[in-house]
Amino acid sequence: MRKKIKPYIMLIPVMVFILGIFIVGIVSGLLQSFGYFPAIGLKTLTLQYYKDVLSSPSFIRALRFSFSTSFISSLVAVVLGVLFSYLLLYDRRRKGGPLVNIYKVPIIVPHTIAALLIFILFTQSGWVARLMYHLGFIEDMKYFKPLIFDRQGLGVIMAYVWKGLPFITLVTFDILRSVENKYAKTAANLGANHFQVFWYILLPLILPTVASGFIIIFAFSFGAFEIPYLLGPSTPKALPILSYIHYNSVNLADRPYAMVINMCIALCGFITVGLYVLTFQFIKKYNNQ
Amino acid sequence: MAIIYLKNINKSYDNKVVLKDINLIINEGQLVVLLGPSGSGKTTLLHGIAGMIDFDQGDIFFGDQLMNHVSIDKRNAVLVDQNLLLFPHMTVESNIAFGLKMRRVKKSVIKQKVDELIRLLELEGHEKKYPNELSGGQMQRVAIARALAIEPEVLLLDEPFSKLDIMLRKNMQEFVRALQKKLNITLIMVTHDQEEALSMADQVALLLYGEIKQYASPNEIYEKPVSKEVADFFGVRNYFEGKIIDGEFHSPLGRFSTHLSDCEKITFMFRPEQISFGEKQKDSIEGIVKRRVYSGDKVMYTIDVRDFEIYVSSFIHKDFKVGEEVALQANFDKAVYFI
Amino acid sequence: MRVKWIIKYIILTGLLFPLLMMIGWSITSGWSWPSLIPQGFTFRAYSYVLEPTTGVFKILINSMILSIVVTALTLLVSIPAARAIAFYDFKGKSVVKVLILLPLIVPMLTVAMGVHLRFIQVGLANTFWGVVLIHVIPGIPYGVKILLNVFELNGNKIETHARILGASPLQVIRYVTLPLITPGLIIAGSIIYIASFSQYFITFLIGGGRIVTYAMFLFPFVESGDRTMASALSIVFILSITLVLFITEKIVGNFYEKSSRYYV
Repeated sequence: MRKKIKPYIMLIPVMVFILGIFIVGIVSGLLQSFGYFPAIGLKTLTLQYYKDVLSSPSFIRALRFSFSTSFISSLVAVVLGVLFSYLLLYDRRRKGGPLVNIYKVPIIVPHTIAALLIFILFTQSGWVARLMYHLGFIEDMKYFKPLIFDRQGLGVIMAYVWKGLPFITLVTFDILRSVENKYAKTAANLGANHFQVFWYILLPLILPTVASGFIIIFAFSFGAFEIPYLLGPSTPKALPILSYIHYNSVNLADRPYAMVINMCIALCGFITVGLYVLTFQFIKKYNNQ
Repeated sequence: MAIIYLKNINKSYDNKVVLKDINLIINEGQLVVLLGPSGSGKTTLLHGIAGMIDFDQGDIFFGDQLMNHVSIDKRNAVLVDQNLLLFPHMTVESNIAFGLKMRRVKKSVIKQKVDELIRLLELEGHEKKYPNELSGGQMQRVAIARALAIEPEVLLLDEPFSKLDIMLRKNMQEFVRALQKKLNITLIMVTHDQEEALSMADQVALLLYGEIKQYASPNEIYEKPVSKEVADFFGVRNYFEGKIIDGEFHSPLGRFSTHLSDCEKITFMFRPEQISFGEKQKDSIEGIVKRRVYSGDKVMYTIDVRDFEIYVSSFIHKDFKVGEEVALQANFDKAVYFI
Repeated sequence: MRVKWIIKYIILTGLLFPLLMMIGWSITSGWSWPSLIPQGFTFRAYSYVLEPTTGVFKILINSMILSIVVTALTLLVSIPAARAIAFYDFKGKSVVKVLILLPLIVPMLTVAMGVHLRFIQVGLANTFWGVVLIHVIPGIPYGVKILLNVFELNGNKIETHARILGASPLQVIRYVTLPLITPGLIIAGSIIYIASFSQYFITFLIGGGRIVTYAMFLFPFVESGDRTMASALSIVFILSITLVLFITEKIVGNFYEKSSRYYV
């Protein structure tokens, strides 16, 4: 009997946080999004807020902006991150060296500072504009099309790529190395060239890790405030910023709108995970060795 | 398929010599076993033939073609690792088809070849399975099929059966031997198991400390070892040194008649089973039982003879106790000797 | 091979060059258009950061204390949870696993806005402990997952063995469990510390501006585009993280090395 209860007792501390803060937070938000907000006297459940938000053009624009910046930045980070991981592997076999660690620096740099770096490089008076001027591409800074605060969110994308790329490299490098050690020579021995070894053996075998890395950085960038706030355009706004504007409104009755947006952000994360689970169902077949 | 010729191969790791002056000719369609204890360099040699590592010195020829600088993916010498290393994310079919797919062979041709190999290696019904759904013997056969698919110049097997249990191992040994003869492929196999080597090989190369000590047929290497080292490896325990005068072998153990002609120094060697217990008579060696180790089908005795220890194994369960006096018979006429 | 080499260094440059620029900005007294390299040199921005009267240094220290508390608390709740998942079979295990990983997917913005009102109601809003509690949430998935891997890798046979040999439960923890999981603790602890130290939005929301962490202090400088000050503050930020990670690894690493020599 004691043995049966023991794991639950060990889980109590963590569950205090998960249920007591995390789940309470989500459920409170969910209730408010349906208009249940006793603090200001709203007690009836309604779908009105969802209807309002989902039909508002600014929300649709924000959704599109957030989705495209997050998706593109995560995709680029994953492709380059895996590529870099592969190149490092190649490097290590020859000499090794400090490269293996120095690339990790951006991982400990917070998003706020990542935004600053992009800002320094890409404003109209930024370093890239100066370089263009010296190379004779532009005559004055006013001709440099700034890559931040732009409607496509290039600055936002660059900042997320800068943060995401080394993260992906970090999570894939060890597994890539072990898979390479194990199977690369066998595949080459059967006639596969370098590219074929990577494409048919290494990549498929690290794909689950790569995909979960993608989900983590995608879900994060979709719901994070700092970078789109510091580098994004004033319109369209990213979803988290739109949400915060509603939340911070003097009129407390606007809060349910913020909660609706928050729920949409969370839902998008869940959908990604759902897709992941569906796609990788078949991997179980060979992965439970 | 071609004659494989290894010429003056040398290899060291960190100043440690792993392979020393290896010379070896492997004829077309032969099954050659590289036999040796762990650390003897046999796996290194196999990896070098496959192109997985470079030798420091020496040449590899397949036929009249120098292979030293032919890269691993072009060499057509396929190694089946002892861990098999089937690709876990591919079905049996895809694993077998892999090499052909990499060579961009037409799909219909691949299909035909894979079907043929599935039949040949008795893998029918497992085509769509993933490696982790297979038994040890099936995985083994898939690995061999995958290697055979590209019709290699030579098939290399590294301790192929070491992970199988004893019954399955015997089956697979026979299966591989039969397959090799049927397809008439050149096959080089590495093992540390002398029984496996002797039962499967056309030729056995014994490697000790990175050198080939003897390269001969199983029969010859077992019956006529060229040195004490080789004899030791194949289980000889007793060596009698002495000289022959007038058809008599003089040794510290006594005098024994032989038809050999006179000689100053000669060593006779006997396996434990070549010495038997008998009655006291002219040529017998008398001693006292010192140790007795029972091992199921036979009993191994250590007999004290003056200052010598003689090892005798006996199938008959006429039991001798430790401390008992016994007489031993050894036939010096039929024994193998070094001069 | 040349192409591979070039691509590798392009990516590396992309990652490191912006940091170099930032270092340049933090020590320049003037760097106007169109110069490519800083024109003057000064430590003014750094002296502002370290000057006691400005209070920046105090914010930095307080911030570090807060994140250390967060890290300790997160690890403390993660260890038993990871053990339970690694060594026990119980009903609802898969639900528990999903719940624990969920904070990786659900943004903290959603959680913090949702729970804000409750925090106000119970008096946790605008307090040190309120901020600590909300910071623990994003660290939990990392803490539990990494320690879970460590436990699963080591198994509990060694611990059982120690018990059989007569060690008390406390001795087992001190001499067996701790040394075994120390590398995992360092990695998980580092991630949790960095995440907490970097949090801006949820600190700002739950702390209500009363609890000012270093990340919050930095934010307006970046927002206003004050490149020199923001750069200097950022470099101090990064150095402080590096320092903490370095010290941890040294202290704990020493302990680990010694104990592993004798006990593992």
